[in-house]
Amino acid sequence: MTESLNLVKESILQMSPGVRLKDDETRQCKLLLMPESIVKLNHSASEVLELVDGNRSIEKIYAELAARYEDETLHKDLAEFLLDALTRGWIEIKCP
Amino acid sequence: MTNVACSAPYTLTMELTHRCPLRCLYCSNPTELIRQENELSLDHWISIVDQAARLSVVQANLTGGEPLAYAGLTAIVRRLRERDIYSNLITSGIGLSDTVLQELIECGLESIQMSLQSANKKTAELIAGWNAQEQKLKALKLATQTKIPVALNVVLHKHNIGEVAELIELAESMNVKRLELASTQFYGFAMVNMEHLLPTREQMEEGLAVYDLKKKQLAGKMQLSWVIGDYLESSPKPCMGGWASQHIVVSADGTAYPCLAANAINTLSFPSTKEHSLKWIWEESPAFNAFRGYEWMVEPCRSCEFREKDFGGCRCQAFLLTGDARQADPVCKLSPHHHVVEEKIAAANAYPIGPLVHRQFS
Ligand code: SF4
Ligand code: SF4
Repeated sequence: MTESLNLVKESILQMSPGVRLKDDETRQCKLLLMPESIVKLNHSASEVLELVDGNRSIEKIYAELAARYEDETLHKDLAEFLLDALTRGWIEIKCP
Repeated sequence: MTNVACSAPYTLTMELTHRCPLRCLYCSNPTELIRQENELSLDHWISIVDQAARLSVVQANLTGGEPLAYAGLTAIVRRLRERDIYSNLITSGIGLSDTVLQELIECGLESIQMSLQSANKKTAELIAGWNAQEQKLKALKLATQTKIPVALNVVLHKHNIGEVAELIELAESMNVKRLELASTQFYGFAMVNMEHLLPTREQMEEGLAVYDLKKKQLAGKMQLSWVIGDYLESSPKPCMGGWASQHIVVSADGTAYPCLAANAINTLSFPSTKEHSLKWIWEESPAFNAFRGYEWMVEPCRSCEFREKDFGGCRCQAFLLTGDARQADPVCKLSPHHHVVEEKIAAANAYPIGPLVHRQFS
């Protein structure tokens, strides 16, 4: 994982206030609903975000995904995605 | 003419009332305000929410006027929650007491966007036509203490664009997590007051420089955004995914529009939710289909390589500045009407001579 995330692999992640996932039957995908915007998620993004529940740590999220897929780039992809989601304010680190 | 296939709308903007205690110089309401006796009943709004949910709308903006002035607001919020539609309240803060706030959140309100006219009390009064600053700051404080996110929105123009640093400081001190600095867009009352509002290019660039610096400093603490004012841009803003592709606006009297500014286009007849279903309005109505796809375009847009990126710019602006909504948005340098925008900028840079026009509330 990237340096900054390695430091916090025990951190618990949660959705930011006012941000939530929605199953959209019409559009056949998951949507991320947040103040004044909507993001149509692809399959892998929604799989990760479903694990962001205020209980799981970054480590745990990785372990669960790794158990589902044998993918060499998973570690790197996950780190990049989480960093991006954190900067966009979709998710946040839960204060202990 | 056959209709262009459309996909489901994402958002519904509900303009519950045009009543508002403030009288901002740039109010986006039409210059002909709808009176209280012509407002929709609560039952009608509830039916609109149900119809919107069936059309796969997933997010709703409750706006006005001041939506808190509409008596059925909490019932509408509750229905939105029941239909799993995300609700966002757009308010001036006037009338937002602790009790009202708690009730709205209990009913399922998910986010709030609050407006501020200026960091400075006197300027705020000049803009809003009323001294409301203290009440607004009090409401903002209450809102930022709740569990739902609050965004502060400041419309930028000549009178407050020099305040970017102060505005950001104020937001920080109020514990605001999101601040939107939005340049005035020229429709409705803002168009009437254009000369008093449009900043010079230099003013805009100075403000933007302060913003850029602060944005970096505050990364991770506050989300800052800047909405460009397109008169001062060289390319037109893309119409949100194209005309009538994502949004439905229902105005206080039940008329439906593809966007808040569309009522300006008086060559189209916009359908009413009192006479038609939302589904018919979205899929079949001539007004919603008028500028879908690319067939309606005239030159230079028709053969332009950017047409799929910007959809020819804003239809409302094209209409307001050329009288023909099919024309290229005159903000575009390729538009044969571009000089109109240049003339407006020149007029605003000269000393404005017309009177300030505050909307009248009765
Ligand atoms: S027509 Fe203009 S105001 Fe309306 S959505 Fe398009 S760009 Fe925005
Ligand atoms: S000519 Fe029309 S499509 Fe081309 S850039 Fe200008 S507004 Fe956009």
